Amino acid sequence: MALRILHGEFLSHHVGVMHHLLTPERLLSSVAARPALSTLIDGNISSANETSPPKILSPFRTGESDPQNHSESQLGRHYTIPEDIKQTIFKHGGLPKKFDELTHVFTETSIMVRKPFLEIKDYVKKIDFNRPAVRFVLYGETGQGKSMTLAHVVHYGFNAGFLLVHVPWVNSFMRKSKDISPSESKPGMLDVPINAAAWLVHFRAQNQHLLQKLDFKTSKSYQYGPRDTIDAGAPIEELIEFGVGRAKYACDVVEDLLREVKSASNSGLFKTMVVIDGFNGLFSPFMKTLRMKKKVIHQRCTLALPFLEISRFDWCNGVVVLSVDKHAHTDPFNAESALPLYLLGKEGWEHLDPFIPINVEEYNTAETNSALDYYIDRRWIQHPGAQSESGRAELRAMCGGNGLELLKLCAPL
Amino acid sequence: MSFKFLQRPSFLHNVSCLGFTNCPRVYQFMNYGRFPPSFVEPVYHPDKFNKLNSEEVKELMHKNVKPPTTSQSASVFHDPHLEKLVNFVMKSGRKAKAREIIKEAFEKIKRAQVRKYHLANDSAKLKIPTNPLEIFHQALQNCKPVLTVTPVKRGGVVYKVPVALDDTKATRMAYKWLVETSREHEPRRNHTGVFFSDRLAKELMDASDNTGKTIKKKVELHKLCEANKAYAHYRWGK
Repeated sequence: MALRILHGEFLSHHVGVMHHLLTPERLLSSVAARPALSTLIDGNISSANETSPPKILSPFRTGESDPQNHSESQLGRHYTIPEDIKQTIFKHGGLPKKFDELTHVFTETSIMVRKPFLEIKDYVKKIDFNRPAVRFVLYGETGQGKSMTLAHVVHYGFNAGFLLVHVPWVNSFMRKSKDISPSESKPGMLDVPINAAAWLVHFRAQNQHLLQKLDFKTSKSYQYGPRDTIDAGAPIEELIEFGVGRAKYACDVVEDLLREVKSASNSGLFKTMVVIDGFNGLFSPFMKTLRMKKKVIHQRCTLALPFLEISRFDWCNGVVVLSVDKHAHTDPFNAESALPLYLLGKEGWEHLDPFIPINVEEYNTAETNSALDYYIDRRWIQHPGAQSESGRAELRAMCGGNGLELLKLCAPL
Repeated sequence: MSFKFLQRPSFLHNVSCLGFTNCPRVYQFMNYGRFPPSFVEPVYHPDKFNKLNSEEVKELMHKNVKPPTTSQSASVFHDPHLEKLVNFVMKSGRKAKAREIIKEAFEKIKRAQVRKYHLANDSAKLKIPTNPLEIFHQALQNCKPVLTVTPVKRGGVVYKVPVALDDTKATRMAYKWLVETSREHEPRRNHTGVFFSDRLAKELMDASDNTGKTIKKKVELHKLCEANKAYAHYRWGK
């Protein structure tokens, strides 16, 4: 009897230990359990590739490359963006610079599936698109993954068939504009023609497949110069083409194009996803230019207006995902807080209110372990010390859950 | 990184004001010249400490131990050879900057090599070295000279006499040459965007492959020794 009790105790104790061993955090960090876990959790891979021999994926990866199907089970795992889609949507920017350099080294583009993205995806699926556009604002400290989440959202929007209005980084024209010239249509304001034309190219590249399919035409005729007119009912590509070719009018074209996008969305032709990174840059008081070293007040930059216009809630069939960033702040090195109220300021807050704030938090232990495993797999970490638990613990402690900091720490290892 | 913090002069000042007469046995960032010979070197790394046997530990317990220097860290990623390289790269005491530059060089090595590795097919992958630390150690090993020449005066003539080098001196020369050759550059007006870290990365890669300027320097020294081997006996006697 005593023996049986003892045996039972031993068993229950054993089960307890096993249970402890099988927590996802532990599993992700344990090297031995990797192949077992991949078959354990990632059920949808084997179902997807039934004909081909089952591919054993490491537990830090997921085979699901469509963000529409991402769910809680893929949390903390890396999915790979197909190369052709990356070339379509991120060719003219959209990925943070440090990460873009890494994709060149790794010869693949993999993003970790994280909670903020799943949150946005779930909300977008539940949105009633007959109501005014919903605004999401991502906030969080530098390096915690706001821009990466936005890149994930852009990929989701692309796959879900949204028309994308994507600004990779606001301050590329608000602070470091290539060129400025006085606007003809709006006296007293300044154009950033090269940046505007570049943005039109970006817009065209991201939405080419939709524009070819849709019957998206201009609603009225536009007169830019004495001989430059776009007739009513012309395909919208013609307007974009004109803006790209005649950079002088590019700012006006962006404004008209986004107005057309808004009205077409209102009529239900398509759904639009607006993604703007560093949105608080639109409210910063200066626009510095590189060449002329001039400071210009932001209301006078014509390219800011259409993006302020499209982030309002006076239209439907649209969803707006924005991020506020310390780096986009007026005084980036002395920004005191990463919270939207501070970064947007009074004007920005009044412009955006009401919105859904989404916090991009630092990595938890499982996510840091997943990132470390991924880096070891891609040879970004090669130091033998980093394979040991003490080395991993050191890196985890040093980065403090900050993805960018982890990337920098691992750079010389 | 916290190293920058630790190097702040104000912080140093506070610590050095403590004096060491009444202090516990471990001091921070003091001038090493202050310590009398009774003080022993610290065992700062856990790996080394775990290797000590109980008698050695007992002996250490009753001795005064010098504080670890800023370059002696208990990190898993600590490498004493790398810290030595930092000292050779450093200019006017800016250690944090030197460390940063070396990290950059390592990153550049890694970027180039890892991309090559991922693009190569499976059989070629094994031949591509990707670990920058290993590359550095290999380069250091390859750059060490065996012989050098020393001036010896005989009958009013100064001869270059070949002598054997011990490991410490040879390593020192290897560090010196690696940094020296990396510092050679085009005139600044023709700056091509190639920085010290780029040149160091290239030099390390070359030296690990037994090519490049540093290896050439070593070979030339060996040749000089070979040419002067007739005077080798001047090393001894008068």
